[in-house]
Amino acid sequence: MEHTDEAPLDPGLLAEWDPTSEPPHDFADLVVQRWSVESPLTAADGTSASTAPYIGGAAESSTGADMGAPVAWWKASLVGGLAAGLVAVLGLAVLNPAGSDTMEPPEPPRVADTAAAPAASMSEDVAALEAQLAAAQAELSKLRALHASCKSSGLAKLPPTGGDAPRVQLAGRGVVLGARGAKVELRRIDKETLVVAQDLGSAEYQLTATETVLVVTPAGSLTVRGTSFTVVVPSEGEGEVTIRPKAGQAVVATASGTATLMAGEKVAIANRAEPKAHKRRKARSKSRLKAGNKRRKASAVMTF
Amino acid sequence: MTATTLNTSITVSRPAERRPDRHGELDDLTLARARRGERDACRALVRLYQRRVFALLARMLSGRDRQSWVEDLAQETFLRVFRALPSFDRNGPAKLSTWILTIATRLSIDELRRKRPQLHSDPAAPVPGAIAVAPEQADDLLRRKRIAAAIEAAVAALPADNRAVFVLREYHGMAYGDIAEAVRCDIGTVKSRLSRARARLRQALEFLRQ
Repeated sequence: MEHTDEAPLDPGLLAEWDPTSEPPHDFADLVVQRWSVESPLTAADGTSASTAPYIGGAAESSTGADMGAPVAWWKASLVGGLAAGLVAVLGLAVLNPAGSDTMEPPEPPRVADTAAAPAASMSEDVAALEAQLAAAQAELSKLRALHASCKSSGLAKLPPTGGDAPRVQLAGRGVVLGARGAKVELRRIDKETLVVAQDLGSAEYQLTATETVLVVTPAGSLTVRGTSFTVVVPSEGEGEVTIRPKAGQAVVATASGTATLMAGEKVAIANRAEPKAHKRRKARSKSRLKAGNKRRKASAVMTF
Repeated sequence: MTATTLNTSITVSRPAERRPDRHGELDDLTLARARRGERDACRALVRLYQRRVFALLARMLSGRDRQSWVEDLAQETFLRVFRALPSFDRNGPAKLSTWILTIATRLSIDELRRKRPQLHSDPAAPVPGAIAVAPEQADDLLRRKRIAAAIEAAVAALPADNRAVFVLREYHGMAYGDIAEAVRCDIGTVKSRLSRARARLRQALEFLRQ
């Protein structure tokens, strides 16, 4: 028996508080319309959205116009296309089971056979199509996300042998030419495609073990080997070249030699306006000077 | 329920518009069709449970724009119901109505925590409406209105969880176990919260004894 410390309140008193308002008369329709935007609904007669009639590309609902028609349309088209493809493949397999070159003309479909098809087989077909649809939707969402990120970050796809980018070019396989102060970002889409973005402050290129990327800057050139790295191309005379390999080592070739860097190491540019800045730093307080020295020690200073 | 009358005076009920069973729940056939996403079945589900969802949300939420707020959350409730409907177990411990009210409850609690600050969370604070009423001088209609206002003010002063416990128990008759599931706490916590809420209501309605 349920037990409470307090006796129940008088239901008559509680009934006096009734803020409930009637739902709008079309509330159910509104909810179903919103749901149809998210998920392809089945028509009133039990047929799925893929087989429901379409007028002008919009799914016809039992209540008239369908607010989710565009979304339902492409989903239904996708299901319909998959179904048509499946039927075509199955038809070929049935008509030409031995894979012979000559194909017999198809026999007209037997109504009795269709009607006698077991429900289990149909449900399996539906499940298979639904799985394909889910995979296609996942792929579509990935592509949409990639497209959105490209649009938001200003990524531009360039051909491997140049392009119309004013400041950054791909000159041959794995070679990036950066103009003065250029900020480059490379993103590999597949084996042959690079995406180059300007003014994003970094160059990123997924390397195989044997590939080499040459980044040419006004201050010198960098040759980097590794599985993945990021290069910040500086302006002349200021800034740093930062190499952050995600795995393995990176080799930096400069005019003064070659250095092997580990992950996270920084290469300071030697030809920046060092004396003036040094004098300014000397005038600062002792603690800040110490901090500056520590930072400089942490960086390997190289001459390009 | 709509029906199609044929010329031969035979009345045929549409499957999606079948009457709910004797417990006020959606019948199995319509539920199965709603799970498959059939439009008419989804509509029938909404129509059957929308009043209960509106009643719950209207008591959970308060404010000048309550009507639109309730409608928005009711729509969101049913969208979540449709999303999760394939995972609902008809033979499980909870009825479909309880399951839907649980979704609505959690949604309203989240909404209250996110949007509206708790105004009177101190249990020792005076209950709004308890002093303002003068029942002996009011006619019956005014008296009833004041009772409703006192209850509403007292309920609105409760924290969201306590409010949910009180509304689900007193106005929807849910079992303690189902309420505990809805607000994600122990049954003992449900009972203590209900006890506090009832005490607060008694304090708010103290003027009736005067």
